[in-house]
Amino acid sequence: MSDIKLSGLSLIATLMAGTAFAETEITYWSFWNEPEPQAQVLKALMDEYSAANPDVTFNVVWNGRQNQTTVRNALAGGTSIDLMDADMDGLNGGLVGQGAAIALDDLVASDSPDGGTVGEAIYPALLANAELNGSVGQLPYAFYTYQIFYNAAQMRDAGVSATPATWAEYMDAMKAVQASGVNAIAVESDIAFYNINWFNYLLARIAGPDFVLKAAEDKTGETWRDPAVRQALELEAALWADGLIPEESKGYQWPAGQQTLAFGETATELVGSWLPIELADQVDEGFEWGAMNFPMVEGGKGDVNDTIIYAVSFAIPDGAEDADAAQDFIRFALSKSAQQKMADDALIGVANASVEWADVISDSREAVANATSLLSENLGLKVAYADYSSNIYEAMHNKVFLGQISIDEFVDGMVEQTKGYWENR
Amino acid sequence: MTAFEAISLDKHYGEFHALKDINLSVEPGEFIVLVGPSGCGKSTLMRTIAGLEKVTSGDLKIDGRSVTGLLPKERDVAMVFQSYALYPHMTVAENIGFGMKIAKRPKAEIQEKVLAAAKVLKIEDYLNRKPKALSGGQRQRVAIGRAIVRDPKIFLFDEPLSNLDAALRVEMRVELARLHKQLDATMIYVTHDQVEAMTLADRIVVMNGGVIEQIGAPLDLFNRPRNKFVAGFLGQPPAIFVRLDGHEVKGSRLQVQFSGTSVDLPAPENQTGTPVEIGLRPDFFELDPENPDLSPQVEVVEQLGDTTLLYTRLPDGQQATVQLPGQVTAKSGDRIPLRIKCKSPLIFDEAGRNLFA
Amino acid sequence: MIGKRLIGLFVTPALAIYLCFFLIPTGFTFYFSLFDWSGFGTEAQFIGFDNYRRLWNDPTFWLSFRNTLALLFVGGFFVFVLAFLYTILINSGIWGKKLFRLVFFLPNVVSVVALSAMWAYIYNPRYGLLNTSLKAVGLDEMGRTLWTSPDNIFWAMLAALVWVFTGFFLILLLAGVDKIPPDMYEAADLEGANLWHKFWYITVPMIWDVMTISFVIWIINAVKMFEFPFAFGFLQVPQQLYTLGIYLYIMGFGQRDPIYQLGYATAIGVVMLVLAFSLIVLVRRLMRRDQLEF
Repeated sequence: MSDIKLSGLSLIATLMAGTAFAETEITYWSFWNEPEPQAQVLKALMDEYSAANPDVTFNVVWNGRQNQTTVRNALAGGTSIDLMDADMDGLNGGLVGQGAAIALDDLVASDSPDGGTVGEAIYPALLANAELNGSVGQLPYAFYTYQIFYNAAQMRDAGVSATPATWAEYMDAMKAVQASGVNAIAVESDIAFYNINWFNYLLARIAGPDFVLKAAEDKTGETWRDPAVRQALELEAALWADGLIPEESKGYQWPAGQQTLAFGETATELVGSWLPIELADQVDEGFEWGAMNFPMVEGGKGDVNDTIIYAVSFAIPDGAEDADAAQDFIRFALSKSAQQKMADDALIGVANASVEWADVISDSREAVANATSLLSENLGLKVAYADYSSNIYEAMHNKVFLGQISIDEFVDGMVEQTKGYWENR
Repeated sequence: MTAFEAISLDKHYGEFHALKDINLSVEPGEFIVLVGPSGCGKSTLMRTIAGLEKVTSGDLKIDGRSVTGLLPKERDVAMVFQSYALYPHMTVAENIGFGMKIAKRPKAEIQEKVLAAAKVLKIEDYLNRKPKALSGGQRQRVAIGRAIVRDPKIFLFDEPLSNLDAALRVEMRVELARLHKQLDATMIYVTHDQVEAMTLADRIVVMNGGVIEQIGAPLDLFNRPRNKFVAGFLGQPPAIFVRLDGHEVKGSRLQVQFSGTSVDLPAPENQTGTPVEIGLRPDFFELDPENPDLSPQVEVVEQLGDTTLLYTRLPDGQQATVQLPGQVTAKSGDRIPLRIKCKSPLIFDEAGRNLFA
Repeated sequence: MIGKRLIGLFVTPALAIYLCFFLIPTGFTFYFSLFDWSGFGTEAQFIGFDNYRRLWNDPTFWLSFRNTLALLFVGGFFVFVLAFLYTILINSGIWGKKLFRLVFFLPNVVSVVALSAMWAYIYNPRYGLLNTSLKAVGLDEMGRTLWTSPDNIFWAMLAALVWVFTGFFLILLLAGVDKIPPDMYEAADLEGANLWHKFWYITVPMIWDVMTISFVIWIINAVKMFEFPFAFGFLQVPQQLYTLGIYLYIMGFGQRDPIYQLGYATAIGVVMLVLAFSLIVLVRRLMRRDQLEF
């Protein structure tokens, strides 16, 4: 039934295309807004691709961050889309997770224009994250890392010479910064998905990266009583108690917190690698960015090199008319030259491991290169149980992080709400 | 003591000079009617008395006390509006008792006074109705009732009968006259209707262009108007004015010539102006086939039963309205022999002043 | 007979449009709320009233519900108290009536994103307009308040929202007041009425119909309130600001997190519809009065 409808629609589309019958038009719905540099790079890449392949043209819809939802609604309405992109976790929880995208395993194994296969050119840890249930349904082309970004000059002024590797060293470094007359850590009170990274990292370092998913999946909720949870929260609380995060931050609405970095009032912020670009117009000339890995907690089970990322991937919806052409374009977009353009012009981290990143985020590239594994947001919770991740995990953590509830209340609350979540599913 | 006094009152609206040097004094219990054409300033004068408009300069006194700077509620006046200004969501009783209610008078007192006022106005059966369930005349009574219960020093009426049909207007006019006697209250009444003015007023104040033209008892004003405006405004149908061709003073007599005829009048006492115009009221004419002064041509005839109105044209082309008693048979085109008998002579000088005033 | 047929002929298109674009979609909304459906190609699964059972046990739903009620009643209280207050003041004959009307209405023509950016500046703990003003007049303690901290942010948002909506309802009420003949107030002046008397005994009863409509519009706005609190959250709406409308969006439309529970979101929509509908019926019943003629 729906096949008949679809072919009917495509017939109409074909008739409307008229003289362009022999040509291929790739319909691409984009995660970017047209004025963004990433969109401009993609535009240039499409032009370049069309120049090399004169029979291929692009029909682009710049939807912005709500792209996946818009694509979903359009697909349900019978629109044919050949290529779309969205954040990796979103795709794994949405289009790809729902089985509404075609598998790209063959594309991964196919030859890259730079030699080798397409997959071999990508950071292995990144490609591993793209795999869901043994198959690759999306191909990441750009990504951000969550790290502690800092004002290198202020760190030097405070006498912090070596990158702190452990939590104790980190606390010492932050106290030194504070003593030098600058606030140590910036926080946005209202952005739960920023603040949750303290907890994500601490839990990953203390109890390993799979702890959160395990705790969420424990239908009794009791895993939240694990000492690791309490330890992580106590370490967080110490940041406030020691005055490393100014009390005032509890009233900061984004971007009030990060602006204190631009103003030179604060030295560091745990945030994504988009920060240097977001603040590019506001920092003084010669502002020197650095980024460090989240420190290791002594005695923890995690790996200090594990880095949480936020990646953007291409995917091809089921039923795409020009799926082959779309795959060929992805192959091109992941080539070294295309990726270099993305890295240079959009100042974003890219998937192709042979590409150098812009100076302001060169520390991020180093972290990725050294990473044992790249972790997804909320350590996989966002993909597996998105509603739990947003409504319970992030929301509850923001309360305890900002001191609205005590650690005991958090633990009891998580146990109870986790139980309730499973009973109510 | 005077009930009300206006002393050198002036009112400007920006550039517009609405009231010019108004001086008026009203005796207690007097019924004063302010009359004049639209825009003459009569309503403005009333609203300044009420305190709804501020005066630009001059003084207002009520019972000898200056009220110029006082708020409306402090002046102890009540006003009946042209639109009645009844509150549509309140019953008749609530409308009448509103002032007492906000003054927090005891309920029993309010009820008693409302009922008393309603009885005076014969609306006691409608006390629980809303205004929309009343006829125009009944609404009018409610508006008056609202004034009566306040027992004010001065009643102000702003064209209160203009929204009523002709028959009801006559009825309410009589009603108001009766009410004035019964209450023995000072009343100031604005109208553009000279019949209301003539019938109701103890004294009429004729206004024009922001000034008072003349103040006086109705018949004084009718018989001895100070100028052409007053002469023309009072009287229905209005008087006509005819240019004189010449005049002659013969001892104690004044003879004026116009339209090929002449009229002999007693010379005006202590008069200095030069006669240039004569005013003729419709009833100055008599039918006289034997010895006519003029024979104008009839254009339109209106038979009113008891009288006949003839709209005629004089030999020099002037129009003249003629009112004859009884039923005169005449038709358009007839020449009708008329004799002129000036009951109260109206002779005007170049400035429009009546020599006989 | 022909007359009746003719009326039928003319009414039919309107009725058909109403049926197609209102009644049928409403019916479908309820129907969809009985399914578990992600909105992607996969089959929707009929689950009866399970979505409603889940709502009943969902703390985030109740949080959103409470916030919506707070917005409706507390916000509504202040919106109308202020709108009435300004109505009295503007109609007391002060100068600049048109200017004030414009100033109060202005927030309604500015985009909510710009408005929330402005309020973020006002509420900023350190250099914000509010705290610097408070400190300037010597209220140092109060000037250190973190207006947008998790404990305060809902009320801070509500205050801003009241500011936005007051202007709108002020315009509605003023339009109603302008219809009242001025001699009603003059008559009251002569009777000794003060501003309050005139407001309570004349203005309120005579704009009763406008008030009813205003309340109905407020209920509809408040129950589906989404834009302003959403924009107030910038990158991510904090849970403290969730309204039913925002929670519906979060659950059905994959805002940041890939939550694609369309059936569940639809059930929230049905709750909003029922809430708005019953409140409107209630208000109309409570405020039923004779039509006024004046």
